[in-house]
Amino acid sequence: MELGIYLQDISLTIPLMVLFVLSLLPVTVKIFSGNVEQKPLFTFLQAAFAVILTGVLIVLRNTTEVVYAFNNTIVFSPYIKLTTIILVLSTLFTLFLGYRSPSIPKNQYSEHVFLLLSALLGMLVLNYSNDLLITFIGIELLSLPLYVLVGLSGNSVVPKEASFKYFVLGSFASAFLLFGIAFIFGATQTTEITKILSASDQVDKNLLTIGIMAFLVGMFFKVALVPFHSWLPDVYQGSPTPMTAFMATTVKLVIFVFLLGFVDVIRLMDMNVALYTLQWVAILTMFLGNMVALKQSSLKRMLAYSSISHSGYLFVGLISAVLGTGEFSYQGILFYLLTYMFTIMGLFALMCVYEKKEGEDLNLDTLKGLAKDHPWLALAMSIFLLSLAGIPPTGGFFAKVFLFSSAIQVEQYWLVIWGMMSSAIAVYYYLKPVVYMYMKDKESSEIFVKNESVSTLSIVYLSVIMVLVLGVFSQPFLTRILKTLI
Amino acid sequence: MFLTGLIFLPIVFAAVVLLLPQSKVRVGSLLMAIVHFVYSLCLFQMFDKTTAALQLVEKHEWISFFGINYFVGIDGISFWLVLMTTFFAPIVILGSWHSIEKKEKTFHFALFLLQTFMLGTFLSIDSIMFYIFFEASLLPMYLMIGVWGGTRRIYAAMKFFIYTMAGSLLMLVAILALIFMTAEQLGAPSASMIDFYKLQIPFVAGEVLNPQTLMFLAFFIAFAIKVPMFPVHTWLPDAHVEAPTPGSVILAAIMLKMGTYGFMRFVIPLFPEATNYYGWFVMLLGVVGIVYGALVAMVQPDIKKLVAYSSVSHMGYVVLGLFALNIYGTTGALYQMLNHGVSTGALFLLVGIIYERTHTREIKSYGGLAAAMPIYTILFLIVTMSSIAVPGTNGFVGEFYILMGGFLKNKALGSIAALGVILGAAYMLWMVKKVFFGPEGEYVKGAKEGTYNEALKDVSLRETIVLAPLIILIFWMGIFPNHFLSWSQSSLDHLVKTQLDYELPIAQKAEQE
Repeated sequence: MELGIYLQDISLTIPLMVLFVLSLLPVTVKIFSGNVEQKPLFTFLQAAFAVILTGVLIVLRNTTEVVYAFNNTIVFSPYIKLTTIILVLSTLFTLFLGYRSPSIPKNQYSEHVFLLLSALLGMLVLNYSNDLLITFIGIELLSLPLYVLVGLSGNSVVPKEASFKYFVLGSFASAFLLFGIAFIFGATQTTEITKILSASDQVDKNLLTIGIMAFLVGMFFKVALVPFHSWLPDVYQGSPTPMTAFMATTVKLVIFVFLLGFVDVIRLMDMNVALYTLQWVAILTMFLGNMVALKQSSLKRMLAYSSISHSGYLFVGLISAVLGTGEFSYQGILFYLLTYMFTIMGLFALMCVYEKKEGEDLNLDTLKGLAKDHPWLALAMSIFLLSLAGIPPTGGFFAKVFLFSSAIQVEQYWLVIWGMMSSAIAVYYYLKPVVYMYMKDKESSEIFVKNESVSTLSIVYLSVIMVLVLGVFSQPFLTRILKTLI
Repeated sequence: MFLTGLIFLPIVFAAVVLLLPQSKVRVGSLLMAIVHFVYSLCLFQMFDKTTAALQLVEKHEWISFFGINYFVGIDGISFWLVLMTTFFAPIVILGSWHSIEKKEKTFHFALFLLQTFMLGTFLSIDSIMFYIFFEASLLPMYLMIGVWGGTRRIYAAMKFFIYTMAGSLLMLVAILALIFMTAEQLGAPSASMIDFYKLQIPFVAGEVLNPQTLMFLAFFIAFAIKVPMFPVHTWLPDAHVEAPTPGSVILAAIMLKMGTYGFMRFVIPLFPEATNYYGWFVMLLGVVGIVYGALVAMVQPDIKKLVAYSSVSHMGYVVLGLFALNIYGTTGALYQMLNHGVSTGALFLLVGIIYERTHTREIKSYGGLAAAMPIYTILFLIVTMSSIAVPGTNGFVGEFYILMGGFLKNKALGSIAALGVILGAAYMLWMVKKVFFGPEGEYVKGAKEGTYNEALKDVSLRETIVLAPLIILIFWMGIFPNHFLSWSQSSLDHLVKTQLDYELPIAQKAEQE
């Protein structure tokens, strides 16, 4: 084992370093100007510059093969390039949502930006990792800023409670991750993912299965698969809406992207035992999420449960990736994640538009008669909800088609049938807001006040367009995804 | 380009509607709908009725790795359904001139979207495209029921949507499985129906867990809900009663046909063995639907609900004819699909006319209407005759063929279905008697005393214009059925012939044993 840092190591991680340095900029400026908060636009531009520069640096790096760095602990490939770009994009959207959002305290905006960029850095580390310890560092670097971001809000108690809940349960999940890594190390004498794969022939299969399962449990916590979902509704509801959007899209994305790269290791488990468990996790997640969402009246809480069920759908795709040979399930999951990212981002952006003050909870009742006052925004919201429900001609439909067809390819018919049945249930609650917007008249004559924030509205409209484009012209995106697989 | 134009022209119209000033919306959309209808009439010129092959085909690559294409085409089966779709648009627009009072723009927007989706359903040859249009057509109808409907509109709209959606999701699974099967058997994945027809789908008689039976069930349930067949018909009465008149008309005249069209396009040609094996059961459900629908219709206090249940009964005939799997039954079924569209569409329009005047649909509050509204009474009687299949009207031709086909296939079921005709006559005539002739009800009395004078005017010129084409069609289709059937004949022959090809090997096997 030789240690040493080479030039190609540095060049591979330049985007990460640039992001790290630039993420410090807003807080540094604040400290040096006597702890006075700068103009939000100024801070925002700094952060946007950091994110965009990182993105550009990643785009500019050409790869046609898998490259390792830092003694095989860091890996870069076309697949990682594509997914990282999606992550950067979705963080940029979150930045737009947070700009002048009433739920984020004005005097702490630069801290908010700093934490968001740190979380992005954590995600990049996680995505680049080829060593379970680096993975763990990535997850912690993502989670710790997230705990603070959830609680970072004026005087309201609810976000603090959410933050604490998230912290306690998240630490629990981290413990599971470490536990799993320790077992894997015990079985294979290494934490490096590629070495685990090659060492797997002569190891104790049981030990390895326990290790991988424990590691997966930690991951399941992060994406809230049943029965590790209990933290999610409270945390989603309690957080400032831009942060909910961030957790529901970007964080979920990165974990699934990582797991998709991790399937080779998952395959090492004793499948006779593990497959059964994984299938039940998927089925329960799809059903519990959708069933509980039926009864919710708070929009945010409903979407929280819907997000649980979407984790379940994605997990069906992941199971087929574990069982199958690749291509199809890669396409399925990545396309699903992309569509889901735009849909949820747009939906939460819409909720930001209607949040007048911090901690306000959008109820179904408050949507009454929305279609009359703001027809375009109501239409946008309907499109997002239809996409979540998987109704054509939105992107959500094809996302579901590709995802479930990957499961059909590996002959997991029952998983698909359960999934379809649960999404039939889901249609009911996805249509409920549509009912309130279009079919009920509001009691009072007061007109809806919306946040005339250009940054938020632009995210709404961009997302609508993307959801429709993904629904009609999915071919170029799929080709792009396929090209990254080598 | 012709069919693409036919499908997507209404979307352009829908966009135009949004731009029109409020006062011009109705006139504008009426004109556009007429233009679209005239455009569709060009089909008579372009369509070749001597062949069963798909015509005016357009095919472009869409999502290549999955074999999904933009693939449209028309044959004798979809020919009349397409024309009926474009034909009803101007009629419902003119028919709902005064009944849609709020959000007119949105209403016409939804109507044109619905047109596109319905035409897309009938013209798609690619199964994924078919599914997309099939599913998307739920949305505008959902809005129509939910926004402009009656008092329980939200419940009805939700029920309508979830019933149909839940059924079709399993169909989607079956379509995906079929695509993988094409990849296996034909070398490349393809979502086109033409390639599906070439598949050999394994079938084991008497067992449920084999690919063909499962897929048959998935498709069958999806379309049975749409038709709707007993026992999954319960969404229909709710949807019809709560929907506004134009919604009811389109729902009855065209959207229900998507289900029976699906039977003809997918279920029968794709799963021939399963269709043969389970055909008797489907016929049985059809006959149960005929009798059940008629019996329930008999006790309805609400005219619209009565017509809705009569739909269940009439669609039972269509299913019976289809699954008789002979040329009589199939021809009759296709004809009955058109008949049901015309006569039930007309009935809903007529009910709408009187509802606009009195705002009630209770049968018992009418009575003696014949004296107050003579022309309306005559029109209603003609449509009733058509609905109960009096010779000379269109209903007779269709039901006659269906009963003949049904009887040839299964004597017991054919006979029960024939008895169902009597039940059908009974409930319709009872209703007509109570509404138009019986003792004078509160409205007619009120009209005499001067309280309801304004309300009980006879049909206006606009309403006559709306109903006239339908009345003409009733007689035309009743007296010259060949004018219509000749366009579909070759396709129907082909459908039945392929069916018979499959029947032969099974019969031979039975003989050998």
